[in-house]
Order: sequence, then C-alpha cells, then structure tokens
Amino acid sequence: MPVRDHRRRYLGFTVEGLNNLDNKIIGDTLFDAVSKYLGVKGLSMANLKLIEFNPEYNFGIVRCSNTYIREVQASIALIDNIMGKLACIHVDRVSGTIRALRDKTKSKP
Amino acid sequence: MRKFIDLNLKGTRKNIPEMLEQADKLGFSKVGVATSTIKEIESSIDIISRINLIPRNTNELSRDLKKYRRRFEIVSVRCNSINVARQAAKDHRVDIISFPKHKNGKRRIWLDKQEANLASESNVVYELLFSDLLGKVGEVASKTIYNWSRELTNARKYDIPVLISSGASSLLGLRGPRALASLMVLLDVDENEALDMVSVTPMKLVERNRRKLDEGFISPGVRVV
Repeated sequence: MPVRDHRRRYLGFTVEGLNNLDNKIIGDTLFDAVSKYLGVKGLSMANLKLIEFNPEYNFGIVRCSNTYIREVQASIALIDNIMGKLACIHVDRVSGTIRALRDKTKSKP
Repeated sequence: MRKFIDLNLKGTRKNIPEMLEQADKLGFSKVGVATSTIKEIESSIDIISRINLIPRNTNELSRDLKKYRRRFEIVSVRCNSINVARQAAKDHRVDIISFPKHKNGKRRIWLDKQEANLASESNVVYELLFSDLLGKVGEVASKTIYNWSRELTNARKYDIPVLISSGASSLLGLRGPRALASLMVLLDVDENEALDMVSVTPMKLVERNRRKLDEGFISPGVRVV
C-alpha cells in the first residue's frame, strides 16, 4: 500500500481585529510571518499552503508539514499586524485532515 | 486534561472585561490581572490578583513587599538594577522575577549564573513575557530570543521554574495557551516542557500562594484546623 512521504497538518485559524480581508492578503501575511521567523529554508520545509479563507467569518485553513507544526504556530502567534493595521491570528484547531477540521469547526463554514 | 493560566494581563478598567472574556474563549481557566480594581470585575474565569513591583532600590523593594505581600496572590518584581535583582532573588516573599527589555534588545541585567543561584534557593519563578517579542523584528527580535535562550539555560541549570505569560495590555495582544507554548520552539524547548510553562508551573505557584493566604495558615506544613 502506498504511504505518503510527508504527513500534513491542517490549522483552522481566526483573524481578529480586521474585516473584509481576502485570500491574497491572508496568504501573504502567513508566508511573510513564517519566512520572517524561520527563513526561506524553514518556509520551504514547512510546506505552507493557504487552503481557504472565508472573509465573512474571518476563518481560514492553512496546511503545513507535520514536523513543522509548532514552528508555524509560533510564527502565526507573532503576527501583530496585517497590511500595517493592528490585528492578530488565533489558531483554533489543528487536524490531520481537512474533513475532520471542518467537522470540528462546524459552527464555522 | 491540562488547565492553562495566563498570569499577566495588564489591561485597564475599561478593556479588562473583554480581555477576560477573550482569555476564557482561548482556553485559559485562570488569569492573573495586574489591576487595582480587580474586586469590581465580574467574570466566569478565575481571576488571580497580581502586583508588578518596579522598585528603584532594595529599601523600596522591602517596603513594598511588606505592604503588598498579604494583599495580592502573586507578587512580581521587575528588576531594574542589579541590587534589586539580587535582593528579589533572595527574598522568599517574591514569587516572580522578570527583567526589563531595552530598546535595542540589549540587557545589562539578566538572569545570570549568580542571580540564578540565588533564585534557586528561594522558590522564585522566572517569567518570559510574550509581549517582549511581539511586534519586534530584525536585530531586536533576534537579541530578545538570544537573551531568552541564555536565561533559559541558566534557569534550567539551577532548577528555576519558568513560566510564559502574554503580558497583554490590549485584546489583540492576547494569545492562546498553545500559541504561547509554541514560542518555546524558538528556544528548542520540547512540547511538554513548553506546555508545563503555561499550565503546571503557574498552577503550582497559584495554589501554593492561595494556601499561604488562607486564614489558618501559619507556616508551610502547619495550619490551624
């Protein structure tokens, strides 16, 4: 049976302090934060990808490598502004599959 | 299941209720609040009264400790001079010591070996403030992490308990317990030890002090029944 080389984790997050954000802004913010604290090499190892972001609920899902979960969480915790405006991002849930994450955060889309 | 504590919220009378609500939502079971109006605050979360002393000299430290020790559950000392730092590390009435940050990230006073040696004999806890790193970039951020790393090495060497708290003064400065613990990845601390810094260590400190402030308490191991 084929086994995937790199296991992944999905982080459900909420943005506080700002509204009407889009995927690009959130994606750029996350990538900037991770590269700021882990460097470009760390960013590549973390295998970061923004899966989705819903501006209506300020809720999104980002994917990263299983082994870099704490590093990504730390980088996200250190975000204190988005596009120069005060804001923060809280990681609500971590899961191994998108489906499980969506089930756990049913109140959100 | 772990219970998480953030021992350092520095909100004002105006924003503290919403900060407590947010802390509850983020998963904290208790929070330490450094506000004089703590008795007027109503919240579902367990509030721990805390005072942050910033004495200018050792006389002021002794006077403040005499005045406030029995009135607050947690007494923290921000050591602005080497004499204050040494005295605070020796004094059993001090619960937490922390050191001031400098604008360029450099520190003259820090948890060096002598300080750590004194602190290890008096049950003082060393506190890392998340707010010291939040919003810092480049040289300042790297120096802050470097300082933390040096201090953590000394704290571990001399068995000084370490705790992490947010030091938040506004709603956007608050972070969840796992986010605070994840910061320790920058200092190569493993996950369980990092989670202990936001749960077990502060919990032990609070329980010990609440027992001491109980009416029947006489000395450790002796109480009126």
